[in-house]
Amino acid sequence: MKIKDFTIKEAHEGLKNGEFTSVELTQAYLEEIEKKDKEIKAFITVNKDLALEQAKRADEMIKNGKMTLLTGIPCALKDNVLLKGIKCTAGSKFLENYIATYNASVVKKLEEQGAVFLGKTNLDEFAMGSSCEKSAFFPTKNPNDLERVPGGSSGGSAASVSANMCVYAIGTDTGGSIRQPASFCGVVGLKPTYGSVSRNGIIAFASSLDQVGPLTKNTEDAQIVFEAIKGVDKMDSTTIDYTEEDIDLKNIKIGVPKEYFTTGLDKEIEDSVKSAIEKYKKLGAEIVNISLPHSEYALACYYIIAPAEASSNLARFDGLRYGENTDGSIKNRTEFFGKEVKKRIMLGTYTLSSGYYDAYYKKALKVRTLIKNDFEEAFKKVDVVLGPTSPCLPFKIGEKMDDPMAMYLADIYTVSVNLAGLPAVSLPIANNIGLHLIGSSFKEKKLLKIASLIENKI
Amino acid sequence: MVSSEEIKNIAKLSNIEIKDDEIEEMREKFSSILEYIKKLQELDVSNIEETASVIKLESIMREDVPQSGMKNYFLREKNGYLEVNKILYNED
Repeated sequence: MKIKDFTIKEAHEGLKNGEFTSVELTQAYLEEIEKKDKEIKAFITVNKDLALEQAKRADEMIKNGKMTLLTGIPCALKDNVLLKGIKCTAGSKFLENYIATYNASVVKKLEEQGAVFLGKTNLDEFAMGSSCEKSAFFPTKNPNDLERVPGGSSGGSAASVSANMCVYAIGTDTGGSIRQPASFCGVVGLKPTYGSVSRNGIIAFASSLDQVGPLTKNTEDAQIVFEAIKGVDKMDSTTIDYTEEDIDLKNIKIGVPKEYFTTGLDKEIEDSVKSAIEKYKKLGAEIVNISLPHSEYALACYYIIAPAEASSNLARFDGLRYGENTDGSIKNRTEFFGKEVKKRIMLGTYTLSSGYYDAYYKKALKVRTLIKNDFEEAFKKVDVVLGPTSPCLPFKIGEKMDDPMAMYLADIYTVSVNLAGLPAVSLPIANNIGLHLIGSSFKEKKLLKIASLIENKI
Repeated sequence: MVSSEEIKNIAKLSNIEIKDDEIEEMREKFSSILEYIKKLQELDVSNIEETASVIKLESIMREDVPQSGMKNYFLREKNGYLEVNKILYNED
């Protein structure tokens, strides 16, 4: 069979109506990977045997009438999500030979529905980066322009969905790592509310910010995957159960913060976002000018909190566990961590060290409160907050490698969402341009519904 | 700008060794980020509460039963013990 630009619903219909089996569908995607990925390099590992085994099982489920929307649908997992028996590297030399000993809770949930896992996708080392160039193995290319980056850190997941090498993918988002690559590759990326999806079995970066979410072809698929992976998990004490009541799509109020349209925003992106605002106006939504006064401090706040948490999380890499290492803790850390990771560990160690703790870390936690309060005030007036996902278009591979601040600025619109724990989605509105819609906590369905109103209409 | 000595000291606290020819680059990159995050000093937050997590954290208790597969984290077993590489050395 030939692969089409399948959404989950379309592939599901094909499976349900017997047009093809999951084994055939899976084989077709594996061939597509074989054909395209030599160039794009979205995958670190392709687990063909496991995928075909899962597809067989899915076909059984379909035959026995135990089918859900995700049964037999091939997907990809970011390589910081544990898939039992399969290598999990987190894009790091430290874990080059590490075989996952259990399934992440997200994987378990998808497996129960008969999902098929094609492979593990590339990422910046330990999810620290915005371009996929900081992977210890190789950079991934943007399928829409091979000279450019796919974004990051879930760049492999975004590229694999964009190039039809899977139907959907799972990513993680600590400061924009689902949404920014989704924007760069022209797919939908959802970062759910903090606590809605279990982080058990995800290689931790910054635990108070990390969330797992889907990268999909459209908002409907994002909702399907989100429904499948959310929920309370006894293995992650931050998880919460909730159901959203039905949504009234009349009288929608969309907040547009004045702080999001200042210097540093690419003109083409600004124009696209403004035309999206016009679309919403035409659909009868009320556009409300709002202010998020502490927006300009979000990135500085993030680059204190995230490295601080990372320096603590990455202390576990001491050479005792997780695959073959050499003698000596310091030697292992020196040899196997990449430059970016070392820099962030050191930055976190510095801001947490005695004498600097109050001035940096403690202060950042207080600024985090201000950022959270800004959004709380905004959501008293509006249903969603609208802006660009990224201030810049996908840049050329190598272009921003040497200037850390230039790279970090790519996350300027996304990090505040993680600091406040909110759900947000990036919706493609033009070539490699994403619209960023931020919702209030636990309102993913409403957020995706509002996004869907202008989907494919620009 | 942070000094070379500071970089060496932070590296030591981080259990990382920075080679002499890497110090200058690390010093520059580190300093440019520090310069940026100093921005927070503009704000007066003396009466603001800290947010370490956006949700209330409560400990969940579960039965203390061995999980399967944990041994697989380690490479070798010897006489019923898990064997690891030597990681600690005397400083001198």
